Amino acid sequence: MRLGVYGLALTFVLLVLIGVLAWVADEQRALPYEIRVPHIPNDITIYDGSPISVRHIVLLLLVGCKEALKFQNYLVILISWTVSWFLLGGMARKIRDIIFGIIFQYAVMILYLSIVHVRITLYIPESIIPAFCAFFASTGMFLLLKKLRKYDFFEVLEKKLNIRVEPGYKYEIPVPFTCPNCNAVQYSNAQYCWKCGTDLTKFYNERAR
Amino acid sequence: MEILRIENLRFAYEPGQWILDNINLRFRKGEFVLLIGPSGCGKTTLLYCINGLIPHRLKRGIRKGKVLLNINGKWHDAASLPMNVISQHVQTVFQDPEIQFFKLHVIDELAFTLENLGYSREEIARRIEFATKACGIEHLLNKDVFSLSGGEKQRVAIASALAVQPDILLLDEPTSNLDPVGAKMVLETIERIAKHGSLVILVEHRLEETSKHADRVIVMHEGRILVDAPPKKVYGDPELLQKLYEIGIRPPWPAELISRLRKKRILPENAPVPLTVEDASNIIKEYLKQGQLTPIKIPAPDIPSIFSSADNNRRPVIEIKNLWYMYPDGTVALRGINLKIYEGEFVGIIGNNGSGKSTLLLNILGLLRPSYGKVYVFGKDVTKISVAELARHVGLVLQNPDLMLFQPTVWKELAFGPRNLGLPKEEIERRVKMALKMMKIEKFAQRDPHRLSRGQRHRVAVGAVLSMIPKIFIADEPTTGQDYGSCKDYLELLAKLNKEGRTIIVVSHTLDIIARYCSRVVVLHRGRIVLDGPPREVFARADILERIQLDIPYITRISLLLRDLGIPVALRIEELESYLEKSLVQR
Ligand SMILES: [Zn+2]
Repeated sequence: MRLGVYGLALTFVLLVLIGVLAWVADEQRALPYEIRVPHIPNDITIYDGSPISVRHIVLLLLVGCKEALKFQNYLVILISWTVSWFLLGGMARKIRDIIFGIIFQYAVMILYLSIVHVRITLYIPESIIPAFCAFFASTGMFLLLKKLRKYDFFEVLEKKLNIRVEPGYKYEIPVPFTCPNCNAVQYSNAQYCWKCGTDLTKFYNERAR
Repeated sequence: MEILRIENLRFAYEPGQWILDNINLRFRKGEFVLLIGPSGCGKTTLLYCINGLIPHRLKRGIRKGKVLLNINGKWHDAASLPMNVISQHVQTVFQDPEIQFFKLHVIDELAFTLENLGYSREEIARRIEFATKACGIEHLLNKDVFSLSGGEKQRVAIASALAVQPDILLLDEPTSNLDPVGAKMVLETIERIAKHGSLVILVEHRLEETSKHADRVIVMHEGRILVDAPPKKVYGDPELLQKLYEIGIRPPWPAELISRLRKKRILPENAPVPLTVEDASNIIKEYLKQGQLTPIKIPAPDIPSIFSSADNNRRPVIEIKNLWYMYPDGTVALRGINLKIYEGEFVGIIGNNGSGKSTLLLNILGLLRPSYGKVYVFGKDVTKISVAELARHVGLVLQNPDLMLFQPTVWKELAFGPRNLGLPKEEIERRVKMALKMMKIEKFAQRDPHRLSRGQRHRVAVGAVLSMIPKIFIADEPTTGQDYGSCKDYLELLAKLNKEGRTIIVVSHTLDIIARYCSRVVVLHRGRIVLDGPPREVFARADILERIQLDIPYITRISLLLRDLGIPVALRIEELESYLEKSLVQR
């Protein structure tokens, strides 16, 4: 869930920022760079109409062209990001899910474009590059977040949620062990010994040290 | 003054199938009536006839006879009075508090019904004050209804019914959806309002807590009134008791204990009938004081061997290492659990709502991923194996059987699991037949499970898990929504499976069941294990359990009260009976 929320928040902020900037400039901003790779056109036309490349779709998705700022198009872009990252990213447990998320997002956009009668042309490999970039970026983010989350669990609890964690509960207590007071066997780290009722928290804390 | 008369009342949804069959009852103002009976006996239908839902809202069905309300000295039939008039005199509190609320704040909620009935501002304020005081909810007045706990919600629902100052207050199983803390709150409220002038008709399974307030106990069975008498008579008269047993109702434990002792002639025939555990222990102590009995000390039973010496060679079936779980909203449900469960154990997990019981189960089943720590089932990390693979080893039966039934026939339902395991046809057939036989549902094999009764559906759900032959069997709240008889059958079956070597884990609010069947009890509180040991020792730690607001089984409570007489801690009624027999029979 966390990944989905992060992904959504990040893209949302970016999108809104780009949108607002472009809107204020009142003019289409030319892209600062042009990717030059050989064209091998592959027509995967779904509907007849003026042709549009997959690169263009990527540009649309990144709000990098004029059409993207049309209200209707902008709305669809927002929806496609939201749907794919919130739903799929939220459930994402494996890298497989992320690949599926990206494909799904593209599919949403293509579906939309095909509904408004645009002819879609796929250029290889030029069109694949942005997809690869997106894949690596999101995978990186996924792994990073996963690592961060594991590392900081108790820190998150203590600093962000203000939950004090006794040292005795930060480490594994190997069971079974015997009660230091009465020698009864304990099969879990229960707070009190079942036989003599001694509070064992102190024992756990000492053990952690 | 008589306030409600029911004359020759009959009701049926389908012609000829009477759910209520010739009911004749009279009620007086200020009475507290406990209405009991096995599920499906017509209790709720009777309440609906009194509060006018039948025939005004539930129009389907055939209603005959009269439900007469005494309004200012005149008798009116509920069927001919408009709903708004009935609701000034009859108020109902349902099982589920949520469905009764319309407003966001408690105070608005309380005022809402009164405004609708057209009372003046001063009158509304006066009545709200009365109702909140009566129910002890002054501190909740300015809170948001949806931020309240289940028990608090149900108290608000009772207060809002009471604010109308109805002549008749109907309570339809007000505690059945609540955890012990919530139920206790509501039962306290019921205690406070018991003598407030309204006629209270309470439908409830918890006889132990409610019988002491009751002026009358009415027992219904198959749409008829079986018994209508004061509680001490119902639970004390051997003939009436026999009738209760026949329809699968057990009297409150204290009354049952004394009745058993009377039968064995340990106590005289005329010994009083207790309604509380304190009464029961006092009755026994009274006879001791009179010199009719002398106590001798008897040895306490041994502690189970697994708890007397550690055996590190045993392989655990479930191993939990420093498990923490935090929900996405930041609620920390589990805080450092280390636990090992071994093959052949019968473990009861208890704790109030929010103690982390269900979160722990979901982590064991791999349906939630630990925020920190590891869970191993048969030595494998549950997050690394698929749910399907886990299902081979671990069978789960949910509280609500309907969540588990989705096949057109019972046979297919039972064959579904084994088929998914890819077993050969003959093996599937063998397993289904075995499960049908074990659950005694052979005759339903070709029927649609959804058309069976709740108890039968529950058996089908258990059968569907059994046909997988899991090594670990987990039952979540096996007692909710079932009467004592079917609940006992289910646990006897689990005990049998346990004897065959399977590991059983039961999560339940019903402590009597845990005390009776489990070999080990794990008490959870706020995401930590507070106590974990043999039930006899765990339930004897009244001080710790009280601190975390957890009850002690009734039988154990009586035995603890008799501890100074040399009676050991008891878990089952038979056990306490035999202790008393051994230690008290000598003169
Ligand atoms: Zn000890």
